[in-house]
Amino acid sequence: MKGMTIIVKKTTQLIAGMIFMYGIYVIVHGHLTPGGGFAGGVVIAGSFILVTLANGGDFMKLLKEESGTTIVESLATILVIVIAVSGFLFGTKIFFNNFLPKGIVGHLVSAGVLPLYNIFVGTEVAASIFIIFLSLIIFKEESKG
Amino acid sequence: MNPLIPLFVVIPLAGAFLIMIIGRFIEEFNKYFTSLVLLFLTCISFYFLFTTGEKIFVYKVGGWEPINSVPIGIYMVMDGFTVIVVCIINLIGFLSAFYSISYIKRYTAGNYFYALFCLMIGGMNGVVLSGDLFNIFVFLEISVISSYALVAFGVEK
Amino acid sequence: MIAYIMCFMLFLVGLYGVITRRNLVKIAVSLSIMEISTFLFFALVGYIDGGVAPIVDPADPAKVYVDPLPQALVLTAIVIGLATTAMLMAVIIRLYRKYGTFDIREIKNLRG
Repeated sequence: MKGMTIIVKKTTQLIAGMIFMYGIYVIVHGHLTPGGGFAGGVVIAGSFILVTLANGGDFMKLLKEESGTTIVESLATILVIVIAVSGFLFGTKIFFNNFLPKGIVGHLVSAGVLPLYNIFVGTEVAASIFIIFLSLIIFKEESKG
Repeated sequence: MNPLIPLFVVIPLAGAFLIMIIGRFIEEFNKYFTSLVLLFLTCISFYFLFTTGEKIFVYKVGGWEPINSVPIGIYMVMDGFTVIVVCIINLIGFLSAFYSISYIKRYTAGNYFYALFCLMIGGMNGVVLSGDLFNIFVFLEISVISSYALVAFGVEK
Repeated sequence: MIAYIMCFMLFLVGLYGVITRRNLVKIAVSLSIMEISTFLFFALVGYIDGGVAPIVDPADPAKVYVDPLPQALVLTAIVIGLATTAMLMAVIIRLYRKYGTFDIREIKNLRG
């Protein structure tokens, strides 16, 4: 697919980094402020889609990006299940147990395993939405050429 | 608090995403892994069939105990009717996966087929095992969306 | 009470869009509006008079919080609605590739 004009390219070079940092902020502060895994993952996927739309890319590069993103998504889901099962192994026999020490209310590093769940779920949601976007573009490219 | 009950949902879910990763590097991995996973689940369901008489097994996910006798948290319930349906689902899933070892050679995307099949079996197990209405909705949506993709499946070689 | 009637009116707006529009993409957007009206209704059911948003601030503890359980259920349902809309979009692109138009009245007549 063709890229866009030079004004759009320069603007996305300035802004895409800030959108990515805002998405990471929403994910990591999921146990203190509203947001968490899903909403932050969608914001991060938005920054990736912005960069792909502005710069374009030919068919082979999009296929390679899609295969790499599928591996990242599957890896993040397996890590969520590994954390859930490791609650089973550490002491009491319960899945999804909160086994790390809970700290003081209101600090960033607190509430046990919840920030870890937020990070991995956010990565997985971002990868999923980026794969949906890439599949639709690859589908369109196949029919044209 | 029988710890074998959530295995019906967790093992197909983990298996589907393991197939997507390892199936890219090893060729024959996805077929035999799916059959092994479903054989294991069938054995666990027959174990429950022979030990569940009149008892009701309840599993509280996360260990949240009821406060003021109001239950909070997700409950998974296995009683007499549930164990029959779980046996039927896992037995027929195992027979289908075993038959498809030779049938899938006609199609090109074997990885996707086995991952969607494992997700659908995990979703259906979750529908019959869940203890409140909202989890029935969530697992129903998981199994139904996987079956949409399986109905439209197939680029023949 | 008036808030629940407004949610129902939003549902009727979405239903009008599904019935009378000819373009397939507009039908998909109206279906999404119907889903959003049910999410809004579900989150409004958990309102308690005089409650604040259910976020604990250790410097200023409030007495009454709004019920957070319907909000968690709506968060899950939003993600499921996203997956359904993505599948609908894939079907629409496939239809455009085969028939060459987005108009449902012409697609009904062609029967290719």
